[in-house]
Amino acid sequence: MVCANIDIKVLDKKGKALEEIVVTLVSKNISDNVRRTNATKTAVMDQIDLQFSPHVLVVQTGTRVQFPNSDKVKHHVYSFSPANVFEITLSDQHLTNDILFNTPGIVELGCNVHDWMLGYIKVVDTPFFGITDDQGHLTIQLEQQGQYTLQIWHPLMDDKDSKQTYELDTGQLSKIEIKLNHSMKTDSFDHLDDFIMDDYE
Amino acid sequence: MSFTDLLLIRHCSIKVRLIAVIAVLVILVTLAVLVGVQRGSFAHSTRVIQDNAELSLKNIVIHFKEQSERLQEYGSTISTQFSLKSLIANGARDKESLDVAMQNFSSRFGADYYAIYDAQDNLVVSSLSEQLFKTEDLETLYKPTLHWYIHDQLLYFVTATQVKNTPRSLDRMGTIVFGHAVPFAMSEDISRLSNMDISIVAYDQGSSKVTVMSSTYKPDIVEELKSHTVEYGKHFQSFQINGVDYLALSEKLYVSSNKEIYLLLSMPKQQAYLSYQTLLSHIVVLVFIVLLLVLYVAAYFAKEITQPINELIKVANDIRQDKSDIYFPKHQQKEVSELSDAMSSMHQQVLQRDGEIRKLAFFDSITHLSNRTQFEKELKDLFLEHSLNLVIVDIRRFKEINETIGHSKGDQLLKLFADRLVQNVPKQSLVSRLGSDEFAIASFKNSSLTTLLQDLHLSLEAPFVVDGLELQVYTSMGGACSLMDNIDSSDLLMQAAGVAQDFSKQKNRAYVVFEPDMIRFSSERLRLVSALKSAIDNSQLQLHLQAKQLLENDHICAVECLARWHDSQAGNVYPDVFIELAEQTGMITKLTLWAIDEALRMQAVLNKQGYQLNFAINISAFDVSYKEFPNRVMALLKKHKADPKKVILEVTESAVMTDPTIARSCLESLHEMGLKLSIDDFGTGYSSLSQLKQLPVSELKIDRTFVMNMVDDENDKNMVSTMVALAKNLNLSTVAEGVECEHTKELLKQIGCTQIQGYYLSKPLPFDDFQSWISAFLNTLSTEQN
Repeated sequence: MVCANIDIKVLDKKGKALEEIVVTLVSKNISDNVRRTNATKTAVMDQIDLQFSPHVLVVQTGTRVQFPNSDKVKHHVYSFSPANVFEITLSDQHLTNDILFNTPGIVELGCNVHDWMLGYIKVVDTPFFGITDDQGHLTIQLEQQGQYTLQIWHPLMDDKDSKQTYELDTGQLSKIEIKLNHSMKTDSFDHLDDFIMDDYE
Repeated sequence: MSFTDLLLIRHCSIKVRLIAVIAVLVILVTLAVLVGVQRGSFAHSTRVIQDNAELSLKNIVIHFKEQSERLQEYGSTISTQFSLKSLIANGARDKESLDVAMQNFSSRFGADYYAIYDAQDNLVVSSLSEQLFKTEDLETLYKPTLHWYIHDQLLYFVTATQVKNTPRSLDRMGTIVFGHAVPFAMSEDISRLSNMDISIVAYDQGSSKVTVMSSTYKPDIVEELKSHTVEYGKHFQSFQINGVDYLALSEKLYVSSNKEIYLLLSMPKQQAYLSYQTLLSHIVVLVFIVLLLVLYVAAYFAKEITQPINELIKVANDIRQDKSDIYFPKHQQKEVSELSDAMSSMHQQVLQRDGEIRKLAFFDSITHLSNRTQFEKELKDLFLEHSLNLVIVDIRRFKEINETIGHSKGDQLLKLFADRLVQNVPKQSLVSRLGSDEFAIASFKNSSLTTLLQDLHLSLEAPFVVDGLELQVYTSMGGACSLMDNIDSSDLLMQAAGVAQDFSKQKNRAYVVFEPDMIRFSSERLRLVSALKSAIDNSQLQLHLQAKQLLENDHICAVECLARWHDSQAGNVYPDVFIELAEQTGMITKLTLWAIDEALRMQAVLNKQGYQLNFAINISAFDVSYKEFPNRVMALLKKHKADPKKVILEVTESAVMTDPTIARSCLESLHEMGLKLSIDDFGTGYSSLSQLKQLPVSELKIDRTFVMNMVDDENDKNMVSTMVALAKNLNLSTVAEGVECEHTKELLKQIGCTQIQGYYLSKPLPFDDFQSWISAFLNTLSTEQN
């Protein structure tokens, strides 16, 4: 078994490194995609300081995501996204709930008692995925070299950029740099920090 | 034309004028105020109505906006509700639950329309079956402004709210739409926003059809509105419905497919201007009250002013009617009080002067006897009941006495004379001073008139002593009795006594009792006056000449010219009589000038015959006081080319003394002309030697009374001798008058008299006779001397 890694770097339209970008690779060899990685069997979407943490979580279909509560206050997490409609009513801290994510798609999370709380769980139907670091960098370990289709996603990313697919052969290259064609959208809750500080400190 | 003329109140009383003027002024001011207020307040009311309408319009639109905003708020509130989100998320599967929930919200918010759209903007549920909005419509509806929408003849305002998973989410999971139909929005809230009626009108541009979508009007007016052509879009306008004027303001709310939607505010004009009319009527009432008040005050002040005036008018009338008890009103007004005081003091003065005038009118201030008026009045009363003696007495030549001793002493003499009369009349007699030196005594007929006259004459003979000066006065007295024939009245009695007194004067008798013949004589005098006037005018007088002889050589040196008058009826009239008449009637100067003229003519004739004679002419006191006299004499001298040195003017002492200043000025003028002046009748008057000395005279004529008896009377001789000596000392020549015999002539020659004149030599002769006489005399003289 030959292990093959691929280094991915995502840049915005102006060439600046983009953090927290979901990158998924789908193998041309469909059977490869079915395999489950260890890393994705359980995932955690925590609630810390009245925020979802992480803001964006990417999981493979069939993954159970735990929703622990690290805050002292109660949360009421819900989703009306067609990929997974659920709600965890007013969860106390340390009480672990997990929910199975079995349908690929984007699940938008909200908290019924904290309007500003917003989180995303990207459910993908492949074991090859990751999120860029603050350098816009990500390395994905592949089982084997081959033909892959690459897609990127972020809640603030223009639809055109997220629908863009990149075909690549890992035998020929181990590095790819993706530059967006469109500007990122802005979060209407940009001043979120101020908002939370004002109310909760 | 004055203000009061315009008011036709020129001759009305102060009160009426004051009130009228004030009333007119107040009415003018009032009208001006009313017109001003009417215009101002009408304009103001119109502006207020407009402003109100505009404000109402704005308020209504704002009200709609607020309702719309509230709906949107409701939408936005429920869009965050977890349960509604759940229903929307699940909408496709469970429409009914969502619909019921939305019905519930609609009724809670008072919305008339609702709809839910999904994330792809497809209609999920709605109160209306059809999908009204597409994505682009919704994008517009999200904006927080008023969105109008017409559906099925109804006007809605519509709002839309996005439903998001979380408020932070970028994409919507659905849309909530709420709508309000305006007819239902015409709630009481809206009616309260304006006192005007509100209508929503749709105007179809194509068909010009008007649809009233909603109105607060009753259906009949709504019907009229539809058919009536209101000019929509025009800002402010008026129109008429069923004969009622309306004011209207319209604003375009919305335009949609050829339809213009207007909000129309309207109101009957009368109602609009109600407050204005109320205000106007209030002002009219107020102004009317003020007018009445001002008129009342004016009337009050007018009365304040006129009442005292009326009282004072009454006082003046009382004074006029000579009422005894007159009340002078006191008033608070200073002017009126002063006027009243002034009238009071005037009244006092008038009374006092009245008394004085009465005294002056009826009493003589010098003698304190009653005057002529008073005497005649009393005489009239006495005459009716009693038999009376009346005596009129005057002092002869009083004028000369008065002029000689001065008026002050003259007055003292009159007083003494009056006292003497009073002391010597019978008891109960009236004594009066009729005129200057004329007195009257009326007494009851106790004694005969002659006795009374004799007694009085005797009592007046004693001299009067004035300031140590003894004066002998001579009087003329006339008496009459009421019992005499034809004396029927007091006037006739007075007249009779007067005539008798005149007689006594003329006949030089101390007293005369009236006889009826005298009346005829008296009237004769009057005739003589007019005859004399005619005689002077027509030169019917004659000038007789009397020679003057120089004692030195017996030559005839001069003649005195003496006027003679022969009246066709009265015969020869005495010079004393007609000269006095001429003096009394102002004809004397004319007479004098005639005499000078005639004398100079004669002188010229005699000159030609070789007789060099000085001509002496008598002049009167009146002549020397006539300022033009010297000029007139000069003219005559020139006329006859006479030598002034050969003309002598003889003037009596008394004439010179009448008014010494004027006389002296006249005599000096004559003297400067070269004329000689002579003092006539010297010794009979009261000449002051010092005054005489100042006069430019060159000759004294010694009066005949001294000369006639001087041969027998030692006193007269001494007197003449003294006068001649005096004249010599003053360097004057002397002429003795009235020389009738040789003895006298010789005596005078001894004394040193210069000339003589008299019957001894010749009586006054007519010119022709004189010519013969002088010719004969000179012949005789020359024979004697030879």
